[in-house]
Amino acid sequence: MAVPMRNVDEIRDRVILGEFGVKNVHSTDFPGNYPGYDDTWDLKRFKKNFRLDIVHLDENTLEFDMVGIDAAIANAFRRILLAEVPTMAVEKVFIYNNTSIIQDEILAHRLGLVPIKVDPRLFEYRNPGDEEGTEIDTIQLQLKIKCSRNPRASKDASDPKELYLNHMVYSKDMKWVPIGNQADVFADANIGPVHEDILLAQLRPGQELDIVMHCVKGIGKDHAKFSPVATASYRLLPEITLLQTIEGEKAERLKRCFSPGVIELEDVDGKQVAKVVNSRLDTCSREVLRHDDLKNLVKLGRVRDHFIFSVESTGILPPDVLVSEAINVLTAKCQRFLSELDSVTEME
Amino acid sequence: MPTITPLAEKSVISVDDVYNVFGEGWSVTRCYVAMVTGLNIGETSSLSDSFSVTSMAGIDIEKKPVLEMVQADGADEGCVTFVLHEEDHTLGNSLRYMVMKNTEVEFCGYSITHPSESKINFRIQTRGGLPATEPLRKGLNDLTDVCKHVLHTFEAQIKDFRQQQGEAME
Repeated sequence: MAVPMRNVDEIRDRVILGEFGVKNVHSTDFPGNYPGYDDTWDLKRFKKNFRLDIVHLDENTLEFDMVGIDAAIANAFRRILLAEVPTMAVEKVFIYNNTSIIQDEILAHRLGLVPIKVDPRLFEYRNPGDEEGTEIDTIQLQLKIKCSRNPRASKDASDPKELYLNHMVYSKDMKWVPIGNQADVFADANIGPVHEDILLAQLRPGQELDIVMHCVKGIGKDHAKFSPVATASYRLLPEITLLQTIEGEKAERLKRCFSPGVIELEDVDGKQVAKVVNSRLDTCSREVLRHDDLKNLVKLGRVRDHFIFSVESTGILPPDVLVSEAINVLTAKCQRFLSELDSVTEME
Repeated sequence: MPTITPLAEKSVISVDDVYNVFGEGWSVTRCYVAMVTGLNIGETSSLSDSFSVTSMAGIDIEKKPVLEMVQADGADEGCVTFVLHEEDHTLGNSLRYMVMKNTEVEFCGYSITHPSESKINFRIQTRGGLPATEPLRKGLNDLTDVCKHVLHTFEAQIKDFRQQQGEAME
């Protein structure tokens, strides 16, 4: 049984999950709000309290804990990951021939959503109004494919896979056409779609596609196709406090109220006693609050400044690079306004 | 409160117009007078001292404003609304948090004027007549420091994690 927190500390540091609502939602740690607390900004104190732990990292996903930071800033990182880290995506589609049953505009939209494996940091934004594009701001892709009958198909075949050639158009058919010196500069980059098995269209003999695409640099704010993440989210660390010793049948029922692995039963003097083992696994379903005899025995909360981030990349850039880039974007925003502020005050 | 009326279809805006645009009772510390609309190349050459911006191709482009300061008439420089263009909650809320941490600041808040406008009004009121630009500058600097520290910690942790994984593989 944990010692209950001081009332003020609880309001400051915890979000309380109650039966009829969530309490203490907002950050209140501002100077003048609490007597006896120094809430002025102190970089040294921030550095002392800030912690970051990597929990899981692989090719496309990253989970990490960011502790000791306010939701305003953590949320800025999340929002930037979704909408302001640039990538390259198909923006202009030149359709020279499309005799398939899928309409030009639908096909163009599908092509736009295919993630293209190019490092956007090596490219510039295309100037507005520029229709041509150059080697520094454009990647050119070509999709040229025609469906025909398979001359080697057996007479009684009915499977389209056997009857036709090229009847399924996949993202791997989008071939990179280097512009200018790109063939030399990006010789090892292996430019093309991230996934080669995205079905774009289906054809029948005689139908063909002849398409050239221009990929440009952009951000998710402009169009979701530029978003570098499949998802980027955070949740607050759940905290479950047992206010009394809970044993026997009640303990068993308490265990079943939470996600597996959160509560375990311990043998104490022949009695089964409930114990919080890993509150991190909880989904915060608040199921326990539906049991009248249990709801007053537990306190459900979340740690206000403990963010469990989860970042899933689309495969264009590794997730750790995306997070670094997101932080750099916020720094750049600050610098932009600082220099603008300097020129404003100089003018006076 | 006087409302801000949209710019009339004028090709070049003079400083007097700026006062007209914002109405009586408002003054504008900085206004980007380069919001030239519908001006063709021929006209530009005749207006050598105009504020229009000409791109390298000789076509007029709109110089987009980044930061504006709006003050009520008679207010001291401690009460300022900053208009941050092309920004939203991402910078607005994190900057508000940093500015509110400052004891010199009596009030700080922001609003998004309209969902179809990509700008925010960022209001700062200070104590004791301190210019509102100071807490804004400090807020931006503090936020930069936070970002630098978070980035530094993140990259160090990633490096450690990779190293540990490499060791576990061996």
